[in-house]
Amino acid sequence: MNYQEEIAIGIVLLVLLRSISKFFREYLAAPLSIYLLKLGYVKWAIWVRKKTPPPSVCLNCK
Amino acid sequence: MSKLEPNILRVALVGNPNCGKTALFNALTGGRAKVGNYPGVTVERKEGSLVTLSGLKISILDLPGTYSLDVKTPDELITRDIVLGNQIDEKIPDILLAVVDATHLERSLGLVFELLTLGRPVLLVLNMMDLAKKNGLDLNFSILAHELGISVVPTVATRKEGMAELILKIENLSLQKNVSLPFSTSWKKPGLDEIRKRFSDVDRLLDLSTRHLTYSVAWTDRIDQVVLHPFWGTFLLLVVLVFIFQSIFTWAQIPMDLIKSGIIFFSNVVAIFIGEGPLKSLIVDGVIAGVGSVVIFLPQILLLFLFLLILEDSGYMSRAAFLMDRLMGKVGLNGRAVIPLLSSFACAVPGVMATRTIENRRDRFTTILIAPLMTCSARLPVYSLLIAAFIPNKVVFGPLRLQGLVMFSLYLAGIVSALCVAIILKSTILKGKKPILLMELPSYKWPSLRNICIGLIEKSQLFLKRAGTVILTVSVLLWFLASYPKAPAHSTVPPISYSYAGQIGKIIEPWIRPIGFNWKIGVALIPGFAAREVMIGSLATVYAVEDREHGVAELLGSKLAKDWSTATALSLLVWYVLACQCFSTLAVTRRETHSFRWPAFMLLYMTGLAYMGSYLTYHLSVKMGLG
Amino acid sequence: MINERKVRLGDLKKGEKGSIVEVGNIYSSQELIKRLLQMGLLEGARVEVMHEAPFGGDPMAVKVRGSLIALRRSEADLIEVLVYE
Repeated sequence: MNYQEEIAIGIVLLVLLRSISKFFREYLAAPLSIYLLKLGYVKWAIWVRKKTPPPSVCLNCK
Repeated sequence: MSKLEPNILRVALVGNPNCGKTALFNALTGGRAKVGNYPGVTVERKEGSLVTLSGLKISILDLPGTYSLDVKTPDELITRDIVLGNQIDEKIPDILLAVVDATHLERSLGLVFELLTLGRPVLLVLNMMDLAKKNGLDLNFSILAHELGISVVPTVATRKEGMAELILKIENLSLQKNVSLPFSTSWKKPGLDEIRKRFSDVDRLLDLSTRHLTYSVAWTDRIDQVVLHPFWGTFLLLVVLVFIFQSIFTWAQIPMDLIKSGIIFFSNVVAIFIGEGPLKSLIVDGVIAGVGSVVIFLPQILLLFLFLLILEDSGYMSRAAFLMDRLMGKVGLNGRAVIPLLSSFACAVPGVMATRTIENRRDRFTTILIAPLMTCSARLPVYSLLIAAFIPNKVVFGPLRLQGLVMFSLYLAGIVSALCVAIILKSTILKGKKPILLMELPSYKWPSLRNICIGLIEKSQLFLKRAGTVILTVSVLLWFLASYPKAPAHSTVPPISYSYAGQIGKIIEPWIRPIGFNWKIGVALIPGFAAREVMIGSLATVYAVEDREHGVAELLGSKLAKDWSTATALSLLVWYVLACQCFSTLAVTRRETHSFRWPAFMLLYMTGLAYMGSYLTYHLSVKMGLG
Repeated sequence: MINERKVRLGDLKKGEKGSIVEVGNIYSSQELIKRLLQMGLLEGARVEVMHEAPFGGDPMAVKVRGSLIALRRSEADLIEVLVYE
């Protein structure tokens, strides 16, 4: 029972982390990078900007 | 990605709507496309690629159809901006393929003349040559090419004819001129007189190069005698709509049952393999049940999209919009809203996706916002359960029984509320001038099987990918909320009351007591959010009904009948008609409206509406003695 | 004897035909005029009313320059047509 529980909780945490990071990337990263730029932290702004996702979904593409 | 590679030849397909651009795109790229959105708008970006025999890599961008470059609607603007090189993040196309319907030269060549004024390399593609020739088109290609100053390629995109010549001409063109001009072209908005002059240029050109102009409208006209007949046309439309609606319900049943048994089989296998415990519960009760409830709708969605594609491809869709324009306009909706709203009776998710055919943004958003009010098929299990448990099967009149009547009025309530909300929306936040209807009714053509299959695969992939990943996430998280913290060893209460979900249920209880709900209903509504039918399972869990193969419904029904008043049951029914109990709908709304604002609004207004409705129902029923 | 009369396209009934004399005036939306021209509804073009929608005959469908165009009567009112009977 114990190891099952560990794996289950582990999966839940993974999913939670992934959804949080996805949320961050899609909605928060761009405004955050602009804000950082305003504050003058150029290097951080670029680092954050690199995390934003590309705009398209690939279907069957080569 | 092609945007970053410098040695790729960028080709864009420009042309009127209905000229067969999509077929041409499929013929060139084999239907493989990268689909996305242009930044900031809901216009779809479709890009594919091919490699020629000599090793040249070509990227093909399918641009939204347009009649001219001087336009206002968002997708036509995208076409113009890309062609001029003004679109953000897009390099200007190296070569423009002006795609023209050879059976409608008089109208289509206007755009070609406009493109020629840009000074960019252009190739004229005369598509649908088979239809043109069959109708007796007599066109001199060399005169046409000479007068325009560009190469002309006849094609039949649906049969992949002319592709080799086209690719060859593209290659030649890329070698001839210096195609990577670094500056953007100048373009002035043409005045009205310039537009008039353009058409007289078209006429002059056609006089020189054509001996017999044709229109494939002969049989189109004949068919339209029936299709656009005020009475028979409307009748036919009704038949078509009922047919689509009926088949989505019945034809989809068999594959849906198959998928259902597959899912049950799969979960049994997993259960045996893993053995009791939280992991098995997570996978079987959480993941498989959650994702399964989405996958089960795939047959309905595919069927709906099949019909949509056939209707669009054949040219019937715009005629349906034409017939329904007046009626829909009375509620402030677009004629093209009929089909998405109708499909929402099966499931709002494909219904929302189907609103893509509505170009006007305000009309489209209104339709999306009211689509979930159409009684979707997922509500049926809940309706059946509650009606069977609480409504006596009295005879009302002749063959009519009370239970059937209640079911029918629930459906009616959905439709009426949708129309009311539409009127309200259109007179307040989505208010706008009635958009210009002015549209072309394209000639009828046989839908191309190939294009339809490619379209179906594309849509189902998108659906599965998006809805699937979101539902997967939600299922896992909900499972956690409903399973932890665990109940202590010797409790008599169902374990769910100890979990976070149960605690949330108890917290919101004072809020839902005015509408007749207790905390158990509150708890069950939470997983019911992932998918409407799941609520039955959650209710069963909360009322600690054991899950035997059959009989859960009857068992649960009788338990509920003892625990609830009829007023509560009626209140819950009304809640189900109006409330937004569907995460997938919100997810797809977010995708289609490209923002968080609209799904949030949808959730808020529907919850408010449902609360009011339930409140009224509950208190009215109590007054009538059903409490 | 040929009977000629000038009417607005929006007033024509199914089956009537004529040729366009004028599109738009100083009061009408430039945007709408532009779109009408782009669709091929220009001066000199021959036009025939092919269909009328149910529930009131609005919108209407006309054939012009080989294409079938649907438009509301309010939009069609911007076009003046010379009808010959």
